[in-house]
Amino acid sequence: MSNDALIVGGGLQGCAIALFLARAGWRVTVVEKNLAGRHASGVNAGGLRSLMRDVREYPLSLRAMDMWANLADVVGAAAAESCEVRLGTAQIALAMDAAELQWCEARSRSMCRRDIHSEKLIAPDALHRLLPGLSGAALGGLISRRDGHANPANAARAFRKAAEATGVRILEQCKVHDLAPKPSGGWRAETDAGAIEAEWVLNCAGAWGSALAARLGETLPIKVTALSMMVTARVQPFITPVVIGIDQPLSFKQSAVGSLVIGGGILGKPCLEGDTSFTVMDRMASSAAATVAAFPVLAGVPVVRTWTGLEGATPDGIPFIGPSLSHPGLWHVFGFCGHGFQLAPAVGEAVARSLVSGTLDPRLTPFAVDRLQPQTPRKEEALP
Amino acid sequence: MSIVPDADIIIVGAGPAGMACAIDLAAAGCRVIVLDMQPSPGGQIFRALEANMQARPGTDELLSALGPSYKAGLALLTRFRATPGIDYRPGTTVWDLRADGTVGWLKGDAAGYLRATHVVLANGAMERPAPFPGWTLPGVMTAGAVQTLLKAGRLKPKGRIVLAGTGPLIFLLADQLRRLGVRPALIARTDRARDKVAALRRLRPAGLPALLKGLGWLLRLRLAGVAMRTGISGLEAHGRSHIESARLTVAGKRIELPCDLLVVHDGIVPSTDLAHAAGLALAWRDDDASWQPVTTRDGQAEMAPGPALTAGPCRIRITGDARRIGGADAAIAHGRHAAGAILAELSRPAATPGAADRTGVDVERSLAARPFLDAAFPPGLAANLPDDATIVCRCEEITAGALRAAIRDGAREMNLVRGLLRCGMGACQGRSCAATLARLLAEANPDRPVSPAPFRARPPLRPLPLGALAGMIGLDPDLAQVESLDDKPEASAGDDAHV
Amino acid sequence: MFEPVGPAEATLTIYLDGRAIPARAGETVAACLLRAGITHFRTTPVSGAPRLPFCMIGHCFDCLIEIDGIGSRQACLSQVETGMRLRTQDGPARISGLELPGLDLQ
Repeated sequence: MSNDALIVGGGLQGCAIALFLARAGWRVTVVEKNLAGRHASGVNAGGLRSLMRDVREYPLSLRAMDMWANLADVVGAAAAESCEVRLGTAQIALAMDAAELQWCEARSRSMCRRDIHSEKLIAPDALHRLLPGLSGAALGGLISRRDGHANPANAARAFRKAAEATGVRILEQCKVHDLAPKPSGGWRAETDAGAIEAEWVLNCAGAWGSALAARLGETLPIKVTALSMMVTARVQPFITPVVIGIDQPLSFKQSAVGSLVIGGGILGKPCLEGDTSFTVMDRMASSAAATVAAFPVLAGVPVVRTWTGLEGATPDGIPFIGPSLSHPGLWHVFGFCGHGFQLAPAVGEAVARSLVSGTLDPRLTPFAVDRLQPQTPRKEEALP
Repeated sequence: MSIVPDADIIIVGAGPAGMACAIDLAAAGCRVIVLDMQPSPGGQIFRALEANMQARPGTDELLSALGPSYKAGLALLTRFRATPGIDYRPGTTVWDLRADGTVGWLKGDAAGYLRATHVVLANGAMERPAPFPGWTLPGVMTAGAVQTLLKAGRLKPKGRIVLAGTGPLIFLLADQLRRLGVRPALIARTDRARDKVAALRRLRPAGLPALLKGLGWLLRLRLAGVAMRTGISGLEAHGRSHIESARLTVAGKRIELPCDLLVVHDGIVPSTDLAHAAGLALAWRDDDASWQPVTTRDGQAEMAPGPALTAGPCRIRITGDARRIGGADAAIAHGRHAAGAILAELSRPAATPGAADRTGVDVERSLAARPFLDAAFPPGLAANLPDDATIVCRCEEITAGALRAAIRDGAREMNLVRGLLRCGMGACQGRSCAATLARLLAEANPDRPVSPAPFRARPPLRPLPLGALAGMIGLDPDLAQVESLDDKPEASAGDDAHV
Repeated sequence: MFEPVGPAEATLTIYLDGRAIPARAGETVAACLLRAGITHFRTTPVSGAPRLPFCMIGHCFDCLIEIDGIGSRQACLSQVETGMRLRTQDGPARISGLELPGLDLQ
């Protein structure tokens, strides 16, 4: 059987794209070397955040927020329920010192100039009302009231199941050994499940995306990172918004079951070849310190678990999304830098729409895969 | 490991194995740190022995009930206290362990890392978790728990007591209770006469003392008129907010016993939490329904296959019950044997020459009774997997039925089930449910081997308060270089370039 | 369920939910509360079921209780101290020192 599209990587992005392609009538196969959603997709803080996003991601992020709000339309009612989507809990970036406060003010002015009004400055008194236990040292911050969070592992599973229900074939524990364009057009992949042919190939391989691109002769640099989170014992519900730091390694929320999920972008030790990563507690100390500095009442709350997941980070902090410049029929969609979770439904929709219509969705233009290669100017720019 | 080590050897656990190992190493001039969870040395077997000796004559009745094998620990305790060069740190939990000899510790609200060129795990055993209906009810406790309450709490059970399960500890406890005038309503044993017949074939001369000891217990219990049945099955605890009755099947008949305290025991298994977290290889033992660390005879552990956090050789040895269940004498023998092996590796002469050969022989002799005991007391309460309504994960209250449903739905791996159902995500971090889940997975996929390891383990292995973590000392300056995801946008983000 | 073997030398006092309980120096919080006949140390955050210690050696985490304002402490690993304030842990642990006003997002 020949496919319209072969997607390499069964994470959230790959499954979301597969879902929207299948809805448009495409025959799609997803190959996943491990288990679908095993790394960054299932193992992240589950933030549904537009706050402090790179402005280039805003159009996609706004669309994604609408899709999360109506997730039943995307993955079905029961699956949507399992994702524990909580929007409107707000996300707050805390300014703990004067420099961070100045940054908030500058950011706020800049966003106003761009006519983006989702994040606003928040005064200390309002901040303390929203965040019980917050240190008196907090000076203010930015709030994005519509933001919220979801359960990442369940969301990865929901998108995967929805894709399968729409006819997508998902092959887990299936490695791609060889991938090459066919002379007659289209692609042929040799995999653990045998040969798979497709008109299009989408590189949704996350932390492995760069390596896959390199096998096809393309240089798309990412830093492989092991995002780490820690989880405390359950405590009584006390905080609704998600709190993130500005210069501090701080990020925490209270999960549906009451545990505090603490991140802050601290990285563990990645092991790409071993398909795994390790928690490095020596580094988590700074994250715990930032948490306790902002919320001194939490000093006695015990951390009971940590987890890490592999992710790719690009040099400029936004993902690669777009057609390959050297291979027709190839797209790259990876390098989400630890904040791709919220974007996923919109990425799936925009990429699928671009492929099906043959016209690049304009919201994807900032993510062009050659944006970091000034030495190979685009054709139109090369003209005198 | 680029940092100056804090000691030559760090020993985790101050039970018989840990103490014996520490004494020999310190006597040979090594710097030894001993970390132990308990407030005083002795492990579970000699728990609170020093305090109970000091509190005489008020504790005479207790000491006499606990018998000579308890008091026998005093010689070892005294040597442990008297040996210079042992930096003993009680009340300290270990929450991280790396194969390169790094140990994460917590004492009160202080935490940190310590490093040594060798680490010895002497963290003992745990009672085999055996889920049955009602096992989470207040008033259901393990035999080990009741013994701990005897030794450290100076408490004896009262009211209507039922002892259920198998293993020598049941008899020992029953005999100790007998001496205190406590008479259980029933000792309900899962083991059967035919287990004994099978076991006798494995009896070696060195195992005779254990056999005689056991027969002595049985005889005294019989003379005291304590009711005992063998071959029981189908144990259930019933009650609303506390156990009110125990139900079980005896000789094909279902009986119900009013009960205030149900004491259960299904044998003991090595505590593998630290070994597993350090990335050491474990092996599933089907006949024992448990994992055991893979070690050489002198306790040297090996790394599990696959990637590891730290590079370089594995610096960890495992001794005592944490390696092979054998009881106090075996633990002492192996603790000394492991110490000898470390001294040889450090090219230091042992305090007593020729010790290595002797301790090797002692290890063999002290473990000689095990094949007999293992055959005589096979897992009983845990022999059959629980029915669907029974809770497997005590922390998150996940039933066997929910686990089976997830497995049927395609979750074929321990960590996947954990992620889906939170089984093993609670405070105990899977200590009570991992083996049962592994067996449930094997039940559904009989063609696949039992998972070679419990849930993926990451630090902290025990709860670590945020404040303690924030103020941690002994960080590795290289590892502690915080690498963070630098994704803070410019305040006036990319004003012209990208929009 | 339990009674002392020999004389119970209670030389100090701890408090559970404000109630004074005599304690012996050197014993664990778990042993002390079991002697006092406490029916449960906590209720579970999942179903609200009552729990008492099960293993007494730090493996099962069923003896969790709030000690001196800090929740989810293992009673079987904690020693009594004069004036110690315990609190039955109902469901998830409390965060002491936290005043919870009505949350408002507007």
